[in-house]
Amino acid sequence: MKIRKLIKRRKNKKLANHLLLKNLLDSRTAKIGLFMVSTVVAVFVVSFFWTPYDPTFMNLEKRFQAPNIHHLMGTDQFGRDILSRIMVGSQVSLSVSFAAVFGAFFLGTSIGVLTGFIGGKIDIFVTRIVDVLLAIPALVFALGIVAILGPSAKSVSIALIITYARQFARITRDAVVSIKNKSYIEASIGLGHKTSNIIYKDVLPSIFPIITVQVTAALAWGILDEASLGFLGLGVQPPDTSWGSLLIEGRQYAYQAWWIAFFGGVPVTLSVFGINMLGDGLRDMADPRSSRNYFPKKDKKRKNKDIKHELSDSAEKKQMLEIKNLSVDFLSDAGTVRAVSNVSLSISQGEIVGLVGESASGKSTLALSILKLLPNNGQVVSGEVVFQGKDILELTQEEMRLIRGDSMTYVPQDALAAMNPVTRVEEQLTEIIRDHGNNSRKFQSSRALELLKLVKLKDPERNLNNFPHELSGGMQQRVVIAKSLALEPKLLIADEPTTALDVSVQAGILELIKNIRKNQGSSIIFITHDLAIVAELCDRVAVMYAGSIIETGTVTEIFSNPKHPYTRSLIGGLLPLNGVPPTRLKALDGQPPRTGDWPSGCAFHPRCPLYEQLGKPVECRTKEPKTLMKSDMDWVTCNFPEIEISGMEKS
Amino acid sequence: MLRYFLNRVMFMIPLVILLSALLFIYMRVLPGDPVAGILGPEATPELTAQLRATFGLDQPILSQYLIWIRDLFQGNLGISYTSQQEITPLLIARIPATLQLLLAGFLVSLTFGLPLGFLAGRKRGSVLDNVLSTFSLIGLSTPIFWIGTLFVMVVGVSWRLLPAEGYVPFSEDPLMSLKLTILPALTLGLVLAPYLARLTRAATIEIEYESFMNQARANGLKNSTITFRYAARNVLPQILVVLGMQLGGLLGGQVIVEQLFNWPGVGRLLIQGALQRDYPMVQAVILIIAILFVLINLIAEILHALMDKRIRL
Repeated sequence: MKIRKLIKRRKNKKLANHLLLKNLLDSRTAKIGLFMVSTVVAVFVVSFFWTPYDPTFMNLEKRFQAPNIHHLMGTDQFGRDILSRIMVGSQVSLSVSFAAVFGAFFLGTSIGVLTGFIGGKIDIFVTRIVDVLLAIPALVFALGIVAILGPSAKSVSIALIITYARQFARITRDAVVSIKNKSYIEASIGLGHKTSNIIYKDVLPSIFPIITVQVTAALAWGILDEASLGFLGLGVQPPDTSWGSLLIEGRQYAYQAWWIAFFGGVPVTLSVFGINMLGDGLRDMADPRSSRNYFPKKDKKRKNKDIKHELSDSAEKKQMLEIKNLSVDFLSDAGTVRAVSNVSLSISQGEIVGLVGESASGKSTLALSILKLLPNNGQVVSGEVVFQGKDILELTQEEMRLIRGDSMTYVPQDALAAMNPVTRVEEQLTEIIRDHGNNSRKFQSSRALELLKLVKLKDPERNLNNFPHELSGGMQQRVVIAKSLALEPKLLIADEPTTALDVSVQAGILELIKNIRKNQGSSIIFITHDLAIVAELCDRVAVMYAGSIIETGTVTEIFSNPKHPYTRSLIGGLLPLNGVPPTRLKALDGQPPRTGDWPSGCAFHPRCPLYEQLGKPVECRTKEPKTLMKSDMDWVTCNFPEIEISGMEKS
Repeated sequence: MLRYFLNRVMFMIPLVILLSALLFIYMRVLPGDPVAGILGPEATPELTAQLRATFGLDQPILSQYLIWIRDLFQGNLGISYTSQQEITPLLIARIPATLQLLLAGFLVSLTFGLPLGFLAGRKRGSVLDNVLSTFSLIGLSTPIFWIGTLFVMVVGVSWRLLPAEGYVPFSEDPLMSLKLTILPALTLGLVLAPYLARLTRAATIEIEYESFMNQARANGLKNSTITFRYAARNVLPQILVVLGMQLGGLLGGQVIVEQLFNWPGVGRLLIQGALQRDYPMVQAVILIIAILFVLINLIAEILHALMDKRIRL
C-alpha cells in the first residue's frame, strides 16, 4: 500500500515535468525568448549555406564604409562585409558555447550525481575541492585554463567546460543529497533496486527542473564568456571570426567606425537576452512567486446577494461587527476556489465569540476579510462586513488602515514570526501610535511602557529594549497583544493566540484576554480549535465547516444542546478539531475536505453520522441545507437538526 | 564578536592552503617545458639549465611544492617567466588601481541595483516592475565590453564629456583620477547592477510573504513605515549574503574593463600573462583574485551577522 503510494508520487513527478514544458509554451516571456533564440539559430544555420558576401573577402577600396544599401552593417578595416562576418561568427560562438554547456552538463552532473549518491568521505573530499575552485571567478578560471592550452576556439570550449562543470557538480550534488533522503528513494533502496536504476529512474527525473534552469543559464553565460575571451584575444585567431573577436576591432576602431562596435555587440546581446527570457519563463514555472504575471486579474465585482439570515432591527443596532452573506474566492491557476461561502455572523459590544473549526475550514480567511487584508489573489465576491455601522468593504485602503491597529486589531498565532525581527520592542509599540497620528515622542514611550505593564510583563523597562527573539514565547505573545491594545481597540481578532504556547503560559494569556474585555469593553473574535478554551472564555460560538458557519449559539446552548450533527460530533468527542483523534470514542471517518473542494449539498454529508443513519437522504447530497433560526441571533443549517444521533449520549 | 571574527578568519587558512595546492598542481600539469617555450629556437642546453635553476624547476616536485608554500607565506609569489622579475612587487604596484575601479564599480552597482530592485519588488506586477525587470534582463544579457565600447564612443568621443581611457593615480591628480574612473566604473557597475536588482527584487517579494509584513498591515502601519522599517531593513541583510557570492562576476568583469579602458590593474597582468604563457604570473593573479573573493565574502558575512540581530556573535 505504502509502496504503491510512493510509486504514484514518482509518476506524478514525471507528469509534473511534462506539464512544465507544456506550460512553458504558454508563457509570454518564454515565447518572446523562444522567438529570439530561433532567429539566432536560423542565422546560424543559414550562415553555412549563404552569406551576402564572402566574409573573408578583402576589398581595400571599400574600407570603413558606413552602413549602406550594399553593406547593411557597413564594412571593416579591410573592406569585409560586417553582416557576413557576424553570420559566420555565429558558427564559432554558438558551437563553442553549446559544446561548453553540454560538456559541462555531462561532466558536472556525473560528478555531482556520483559523489552525492556515494556520499561519505569521497563526497566530502570532492565537494571541498569543488568549493575551493568555485572561489575563483568564472572568467578568471577560464582565463587560467586558456593560458595553458593557448588561444583557440578549442581551448575556450575546454576551459568553459571545466569552468561550468564546477557549478553543475555543486548544484547536482546538493540536489541529489536532499532527494536521496526523501522517502520514495529510500523505499527504492529498501526494495533492493539497483543503484544505477535508482539514479536513472528516480534521481535524474527529480533534479530535471533544477538542471534545466541551470543549463539555460549556462547557455547564456557560455555565449557571453566565449565573447569575453574572444574580446581579450584568447579565442579564435584571425582571420577566423567570432562575435567576441569582432569586438576587438570594434574597440580598436571605435573612433572612426562606430558600426563595427555597434553591430558587433548586437548578436551576443540578442541571443543572451533570448535565452535569459526563456530561462525566466522556466523559472517562473518552477517557482511562480517571483513571476511578474503571478496575480490573476481581479475583474469580478462584489454583489450583494439576497440576504438569507435576516436579523431583527433591534439586534442589529447593538452590533459591533455584522458580517452578512460574505463569500470569498481565491483565484489560482486551477481556477476559482471558494474559501468562505455565504457567511453571516454578528458580534455585540463586549462579547467574546469563539470561531471554531478544523484547519482549512475558512476561519483565517474570514478573519483576513474582516481586516480587509486578503492576499492579492483573494477577493470578496458578495456580502458586507459592517463594523461600527460602516461597511468596511466600501472603505479605501487608507481609511481602512486608520481603523486597523486602532479600533480593530489582530493578534496572530505565531507571535515571533509576526514581529519585525530587526527592531526593538519599544519601536514596535511606538510606531503603531505614531502611524495613527500621535506624534508626541513622550506620549509614545510612556504609552509603550504602560502597555507592557498592562500585559503583565515582569520587567517592562528592560523588555522595551529587547529584540523579539530575546523574549520567551509567552512574553512574545504578550508583546504582540500589547501592540494590539496600543490604541484601545473596539474589536480584537485573535487567531489561535495560544496554540503555540505551553498550557501554563496559555492560562496567563487567556486571563489577559478576559481582562481586556472586562476593562476596555472590547469585543473579541477568538479563533481556535480548542473547545476547552471556548467553554472557558467565550460567550458565543460560531462553528465553521467547509467555508460556512453551520451553527451559532451561546456557549451554554452549544455545549448542552448542539443541533448540527457536526457540532454534536465535536462536543460528543466523535470528531477531533485539532487533528488528534480522540482515544476514548471511535472517531468519525474521513478527512475534512480541502479548501474549495467542498462536497455538494451539505458539505458535511460524507462524514455525517445522521446521513448514514437516515439512509442517505437525497436532499443532503443535492440541496443546500435549510437554515433554522434558533433565536434572534443564532441559527443552524441542517436538514435534520432535531433528530437524535443513535449511540451518542447527550452530554 | 572578536571570537566570531577570529573563527571566520581561521576558517580561511585551510581554504587558502588548499587553493595554493590546487594552483601548484595546475602549474605542473602544463604540457611541455615552459623554459623551452620562453627561449624558443635559440635554446641551448646551458641556457635551458640556467633558466630552469632560476625558476626552481630543477628541484624534485615535492621540494618545489614546499618552496612554493614557504615563499607564499613570505609573500613571495615567484618570478615572472617573461620579465624575469619578482611578481609580488609588480602585483602590489597595481593593486591600488584595481581596488579603485572595483570599489567604484561596486558603488555604481549598489546605487542602481539596490533601489531599483527594491522598488520593482515592492511594486510587483506594475508597469514599473515590468520596465525595470526588462531593463535588468537586458543588462544581464549585454556583454560589458560592448557597453564599454559604446560608452567610449558616445560619451568619450562624440560628446567629449569625459576622458575615454587611461589612468592617473588618485594621489597625483584626484580630480582627473575620478574623471577617468567614471566610464570604467559605470561599465563595471553594469555587470553587477542587474543581478543585484533581480536579487533584491526576489528578496523583497520573499519578505512580502513573511508573517510580520501582514501583521504590520494589520497594525495599520503607514506604507512608508512598512517599506522602510520592515521591508528594507529585512531585505538588506539577505542581500548581503548573496551579494558576496555574486562578486565573482564583478571580479571577472574587472579583468575585461581593465583591458577595455587601458586600466593598469591586476586584471591586465592576468591577460598579458595568459597571452604570453607567463604561468607564474597567471598563477599569482588567480591566487590574489581568489583570496580577494574569499575576503569579500568574509566581510559580507560579518556585516550580515552585525545587521541581523538574531545571529549571536
